Amino acid sequence: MLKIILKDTRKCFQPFEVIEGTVKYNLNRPSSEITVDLVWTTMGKGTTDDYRADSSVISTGGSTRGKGKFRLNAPAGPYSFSGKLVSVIWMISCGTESDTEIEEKEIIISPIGSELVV
Amino acid sequence: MATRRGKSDQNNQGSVWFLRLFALMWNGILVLMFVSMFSKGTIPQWPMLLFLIPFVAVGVFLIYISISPGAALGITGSKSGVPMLESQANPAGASAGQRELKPVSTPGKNLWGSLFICLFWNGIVSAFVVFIIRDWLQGKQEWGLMLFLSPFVLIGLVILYGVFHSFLALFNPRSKLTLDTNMVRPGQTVTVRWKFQGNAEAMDSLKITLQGREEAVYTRGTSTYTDKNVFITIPVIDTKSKSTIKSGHASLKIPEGTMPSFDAAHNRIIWSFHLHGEIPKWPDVQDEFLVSIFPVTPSDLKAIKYRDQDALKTLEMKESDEDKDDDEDLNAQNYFKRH
Repeated sequence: MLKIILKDTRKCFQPFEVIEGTVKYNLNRPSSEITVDLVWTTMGKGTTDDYRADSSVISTGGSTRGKGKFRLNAPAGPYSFSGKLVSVIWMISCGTESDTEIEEKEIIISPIGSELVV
Repeated sequence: MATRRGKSDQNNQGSVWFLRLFALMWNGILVLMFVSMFSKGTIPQWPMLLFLIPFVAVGVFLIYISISPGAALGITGSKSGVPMLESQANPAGASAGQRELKPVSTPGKNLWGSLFICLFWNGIVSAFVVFIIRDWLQGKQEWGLMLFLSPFVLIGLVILYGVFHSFLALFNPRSKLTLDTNMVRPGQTVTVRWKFQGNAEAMDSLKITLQGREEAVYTRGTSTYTDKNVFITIPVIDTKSKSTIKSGHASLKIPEGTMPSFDAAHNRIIWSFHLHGEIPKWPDVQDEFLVSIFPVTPSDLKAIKYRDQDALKTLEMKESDEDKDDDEDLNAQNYFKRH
């Protein structure tokens, strides 16, 4: 089990902002590290595109239970937006080495404090 | 096992290699056919050569898209999704300069494109038409086949008209569009300058707009489709003045809080200027110029933050003043009620 907890339980971030948080883990199988990624993915009519903008590694030290902090840098863009054909969703995604356990948390990256609607 | 996002191969390498293999096979078979035809020592009859033109055209097209697969498969764009410009490497220096926008297509490209389609379509259809005419001259009238071919011949004629139309458009005045900045961002006011070379007096009116549209590329079966949706159209100029048509400039404000350009492999937000010059009894000038709208910079964000804070303070002050007024009104009402 993986759980992403964002600092100050925030959901919306500005471009260039540092996203901080903690990952709590209680793993079924030991993993030496947990990778936390800041990714965007598209949703809508088109074939899905996705991209990893930043990444942070939490070392578990072989332990199956515990927690670790992460820091990710939000890039300039793209902004979280919702259109008729395309939407861009930002998320924090974390997983074990073999990706047997993964967890995702949706966030918003936008200069106006909310998802843009076109 | 679940797969995590952000790890997909955006260049669709599998499809690209399949395409290259297909191009190799197609052209290989064509070469073998030609070698076997000519090795017999007899020159093939011209209906046969006509019939082969579209297959050769497809072969050439396959070679072209194998070399440049991105555009052909509709998979372009930067991996990060944020548009890249040569100027982005040095935005501070670039922002001071002007930027001449490149048209998406030119009359020459349009002519070659329509000529290619025309050769492909009419090459196949003409082979059948030749057979029908030959039979007709020999006294055999295949009415069923003629009826069946009629719509294909009609489509061929429309495509031929398209070639003629594109040819006439070669003689149209050529437009040039320049922006006063290299880095356009939401909330920014930009000046657009246009200039025509050639017979600009032939145009009766000129309309320039800035359009924002979404594009989604998707595959159904073996075909790739692109859906488009225009979400904003900002008028720049709509004039009938001959002098303004020939050259001029106008300012426009990029809306604040709008979505900047987004350029992924299959999904895009595209901003472009559309220029429409009307020429009576002649193909109109219709050009599209792509423009990249970049995300805001950290300094812009600070400005937005401070402005929002100022706006919030003003709102709070206004609200507290209104509250005070309300309180005073209420107190006055109560006073009058009591007395």
